[in-house]
Amino acid sequence: MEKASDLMSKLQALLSMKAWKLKTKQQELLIRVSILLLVYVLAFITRLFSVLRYESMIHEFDPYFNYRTTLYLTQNGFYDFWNWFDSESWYPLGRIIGGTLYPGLMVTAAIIYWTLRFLRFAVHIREVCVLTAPFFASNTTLVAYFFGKELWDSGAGLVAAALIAICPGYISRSVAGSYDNEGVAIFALLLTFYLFVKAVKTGLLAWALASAFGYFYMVSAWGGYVFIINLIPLYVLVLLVTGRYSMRLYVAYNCMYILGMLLAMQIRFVGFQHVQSGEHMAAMGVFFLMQVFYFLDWVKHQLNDPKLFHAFLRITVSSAVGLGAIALGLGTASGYISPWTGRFYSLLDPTYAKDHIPIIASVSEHQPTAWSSFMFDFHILLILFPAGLYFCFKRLSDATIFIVMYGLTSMYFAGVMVRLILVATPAVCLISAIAVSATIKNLTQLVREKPKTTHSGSAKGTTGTKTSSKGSFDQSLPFQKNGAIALLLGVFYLLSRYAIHCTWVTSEAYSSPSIVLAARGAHGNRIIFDDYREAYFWLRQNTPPDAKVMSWWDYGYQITAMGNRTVIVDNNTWNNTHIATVGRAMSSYEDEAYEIMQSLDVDYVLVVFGGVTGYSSDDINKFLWMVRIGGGVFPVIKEPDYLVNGEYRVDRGAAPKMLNCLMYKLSYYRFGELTTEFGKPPGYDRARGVEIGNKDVKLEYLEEAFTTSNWIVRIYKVKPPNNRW
Amino acid sequence: MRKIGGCDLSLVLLAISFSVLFAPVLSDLVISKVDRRVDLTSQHVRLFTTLKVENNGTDSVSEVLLPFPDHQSKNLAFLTATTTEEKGKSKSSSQALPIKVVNPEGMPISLAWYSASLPKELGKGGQLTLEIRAVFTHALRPFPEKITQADAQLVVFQDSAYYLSPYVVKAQSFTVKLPEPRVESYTKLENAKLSGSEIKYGPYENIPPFSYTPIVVHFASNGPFAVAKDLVREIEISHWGNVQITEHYNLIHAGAESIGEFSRLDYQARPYLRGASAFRHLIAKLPPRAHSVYYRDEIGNISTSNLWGDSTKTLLEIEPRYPLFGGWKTSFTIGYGLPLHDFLFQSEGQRFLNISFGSPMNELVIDNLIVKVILPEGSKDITVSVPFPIKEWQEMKFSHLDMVGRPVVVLEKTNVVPEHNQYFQVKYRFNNLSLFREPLMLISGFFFLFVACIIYTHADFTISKSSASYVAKLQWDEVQTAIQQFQGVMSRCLAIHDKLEASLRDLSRTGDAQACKAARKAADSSLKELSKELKSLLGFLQSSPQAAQILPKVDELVVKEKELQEKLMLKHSIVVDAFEKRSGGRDTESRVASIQQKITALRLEVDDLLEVIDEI
Repeated sequence: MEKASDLMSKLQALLSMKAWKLKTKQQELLIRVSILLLVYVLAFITRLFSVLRYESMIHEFDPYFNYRTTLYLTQNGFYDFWNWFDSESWYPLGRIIGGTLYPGLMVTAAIIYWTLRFLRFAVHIREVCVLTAPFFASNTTLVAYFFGKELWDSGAGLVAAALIAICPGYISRSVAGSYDNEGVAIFALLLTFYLFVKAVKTGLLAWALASAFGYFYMVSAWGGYVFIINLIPLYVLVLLVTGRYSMRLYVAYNCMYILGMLLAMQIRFVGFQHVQSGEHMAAMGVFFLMQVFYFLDWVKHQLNDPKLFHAFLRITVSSAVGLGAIALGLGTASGYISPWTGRFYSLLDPTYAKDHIPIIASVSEHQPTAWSSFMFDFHILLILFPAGLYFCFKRLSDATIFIVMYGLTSMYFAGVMVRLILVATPAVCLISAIAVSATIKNLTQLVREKPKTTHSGSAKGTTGTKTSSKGSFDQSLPFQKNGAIALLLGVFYLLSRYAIHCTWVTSEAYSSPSIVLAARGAHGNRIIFDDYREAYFWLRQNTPPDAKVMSWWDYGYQITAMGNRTVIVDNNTWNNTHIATVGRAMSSYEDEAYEIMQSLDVDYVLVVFGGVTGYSSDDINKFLWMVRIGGGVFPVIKEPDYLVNGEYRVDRGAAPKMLNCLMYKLSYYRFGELTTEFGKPPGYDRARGVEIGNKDVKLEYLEEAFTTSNWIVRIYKVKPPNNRW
Repeated sequence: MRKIGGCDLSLVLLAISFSVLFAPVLSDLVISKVDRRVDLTSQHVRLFTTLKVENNGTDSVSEVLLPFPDHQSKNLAFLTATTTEEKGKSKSSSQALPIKVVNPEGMPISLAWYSASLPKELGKGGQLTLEIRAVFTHALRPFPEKITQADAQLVVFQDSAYYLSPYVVKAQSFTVKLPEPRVESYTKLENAKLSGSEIKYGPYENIPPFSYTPIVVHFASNGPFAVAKDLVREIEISHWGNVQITEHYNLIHAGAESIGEFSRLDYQARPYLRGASAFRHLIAKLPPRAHSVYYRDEIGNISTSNLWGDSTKTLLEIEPRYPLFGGWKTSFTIGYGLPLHDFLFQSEGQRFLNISFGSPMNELVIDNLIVKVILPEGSKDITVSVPFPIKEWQEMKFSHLDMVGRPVVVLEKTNVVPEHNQYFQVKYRFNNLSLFREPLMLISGFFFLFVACIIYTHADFTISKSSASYVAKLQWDEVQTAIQQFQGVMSRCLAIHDKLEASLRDLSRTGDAQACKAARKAADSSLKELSKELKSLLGFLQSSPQAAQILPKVDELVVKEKELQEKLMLKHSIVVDAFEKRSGGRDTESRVASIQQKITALRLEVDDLLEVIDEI
């Protein structure tokens, strides 16, 4: 024992000696690397709440599709995946998977899976999928560090990495199990921006090339690449206007645009859209503008006469703009250039979707953002953001102009749509990091320099003029040191509140899989509602393998992935008419609906019903959207028929059509006999808090096939037609 | 509609009974008494037969033939025969008899024959008691085949009232035990009696060989008809101390098929009336000290399960995601770990695993059971011994960090009942050193990773060694090392300064002026050496173009340090002198103080400069 302790002390002495021997620079490097490492680990583990609370499972809706396709990719190889015609969704149309998805996420997960397999780690593909988003979130912190370093200094980079690691705006889309495009795409987005800024800063072809590949990865991963291909031209345009045009910019943009375009066109879902659709025209316009600029620069160089050059400039610019306008007009008129899509319009005009595309407006994450959710997702960053902008403007460079533009545009989009808070998060984190880092640096300098100035004050005669300016500054603020310390403490307090808030939000709000619902029982125990999986597994096991299931499109991906059955519509809302048909069936009387279901070969109908448990996001609450979407295509369905004096209700005072439509009947079949709450009449709907209006629901063409234990999912079988005599 | 039994089957039975009546009598064995009891309380039909055999002939007999009609033999899952030899009054020992399938000549083909070999030949007039235990699966046929949720499940059982035997049976009786007293109908023969939940046929006396009188019992049975279509049990041995068992079930409710609506309301309100035929949970009896139990299926964890246990067992109650009605299917996986030392033993340099064969769930009928024993990588000489006939082959499985794969012993058996839950053994040889293969692989993997990193950081991958930027980088590296050396020298100088100061402090404490002088001398000489070193470094820095920007700072630093050095020496000598002369007056003090002020100012500047240089 003694020997061991002796050895230990010797070892410690050795270690401390070694540590002492490190140069300041090496110490700084060591600290920086270990902070980055810790941030990397933190970003990963803070996203594991959902795995610890529930289990290693895929969350929500879209991730189930991604998981199903990844499974297919790993089982059948890339070419089969690329040419996959999926007959299990959009019956009877089917869906060409390879041509209608962004494959980046699936390929990434499959490559990770194959690599691990090659290294002889026998992992299940589900675990890989579940952990892909946290892994990429960790990688994003690294990119944020380098980006921050490029924008300001390595301190700002570290702060940016730490902020983005736990920012709820990002965590909401990248917890373990949230296997969605965004998880990878934010990494790709930030990487592309970083590489492009680096390319503009250095003017090196290598960085421009790298940013083109970053862009390619982004295109392969998420439709949000449109943001990149519009922001970068805008940035270039601003640089041109502010007179910051340089050869570096020319090299960076041209290389990135041309190569990025060619690479992006390899993704089948994008294809020729990249040169034909309205959303991508800005990039092309700026590309041509760049050439005009270069040409003018050259002419200016050749012509030494400024007057002549001005005349030439006027002619060239007007003819270039005229040509561009004519080309755009001709392209649009001839249909070569497709107009902007509805989604794009709804970004520029938030009210557009509500009036024209109910299917976009019906999704909760497409709603305009409330102030509270900004506060919820950004916390103190919301205050630090303007401060960071101030610092950026104070030290304006090509790089800071970029981050300012990124911050401002993405903040606008975040205001338009809730889900786009995600895109704004990296910018907000970076700009706030600049504010935090600059503030702390200034304050610590004040705190540290104070003793020296007193010394120099005593020996004023001998010291140079260098400290005298600072000394005079000091004298004007007598309590500067104390003030600086107080401010520093304040900053650290704020940052610690931020960390606490982020952890709390992550654990409370963003770590629920939404497939499994949890509630607190009367005794504080946890009650699990696993009804979705109960129903999907029942479908998987106890229906014929070729059964077609009709449900509202929200559940399409889950039914195909977990229930392994064919669905009529799913979350890939590519065919509005088809969805409207389902909406029409749900909002028609049973006999009319039966005809529609017969024409679609429907065997089972699945509805989600929260009346027993008080689960509010059920089909009755979504029903008005079904009516609207159905009515948008089939004018037979009229929204006012389902409303009473503009009010939506399900109780005795509800509209007669409402009380007898298919959705109402399927949701409330035999519900009138059930007592849900003590002291309330039977048929009391807990989700809406009313006694239902039609308690005697009789089904003629359908029969109840299965209802889950908490009635959340109800499945009905469509009866075969009666025998003809 | 409600006619009992398939028409064709009855005809076949009739044909059997006629054909066998005229078959020749096989031997002189006579069965003096047969007592048959069939237990129909679960889906396993368990038939216990007690035979008293007598040899009336002259030849001694070594085997007893046990025929079963085809429709029974195809469902026969398990058959044993034991003799109870009574020696004296109290002593009785039972002995299991080997049973084999035989094909005696001249016998009707629609019978399956088994023969139990006697331990010793039965001589003339000898007597013997045989206990025969047979278990049948799928012998209860639901009738009607389709019921609604509200109906009770009715099943049909068919057998013969007389014991089917090639021998003359002198006295016999047959008891049918039912799960509940509710009986729809039963074949009424003479001496048939229903009392409570038991039907008794017999006694009958002096029945000729091959007598067959079909009887049919139609009764209510709502026990779980859980049939595992497939069950794959994986038993994975880790010599680090764990036996991991994973069981993949593919279950079906094999009772009457459910038709019509499934109403959750009815099922919730009156589960034992509206859903009597459904079963909602199963109980698995796991070995004691089972740990890390999980219960999941293809789409995730199933949260409805309970686990409790004591020192003799661990009970796992699992509830499928939904109640299983007739014809409904489900599939799930349960897994658990067991301590290795409970199941793995060593003998004669060999290791053997001793573990039970079937499923831990006692209510199950398993149509097809596959047991895979996954041995650690590097196991050899694998032998298996199972107490009943079985299909066996070997496979390879690749798991974590496997290079050659783990040998897998696969055992397959159809029609498995709880009676098959017997221990079986897998013997193999395994070298203890192989245990460390995988950790070593991991360690070496990381080792090579780090080595690669070290090589990468130290190697020079520049393509063009003559490019300007490369040369500049090389020069800059040199300058940096020179500056580092310079910094080292400076810090050593400062350390010597500190020593001088320390010697002064010692002087005031100890009063040893000589030591102090010696310290000054030593400091002086070492400072001189250092200044020599400094000169060469400065020479290099001055010659290098890369160091141009840093040079003024370096020069300034050198000058300041020199100054500092001089001042220190001066202070030192003054103090020492004053001490020696004992003239510690105000004069010296004021001189020292002014020098001291300069020294501190200089020291600060030197530190500042060092920091500045450090930051470059």
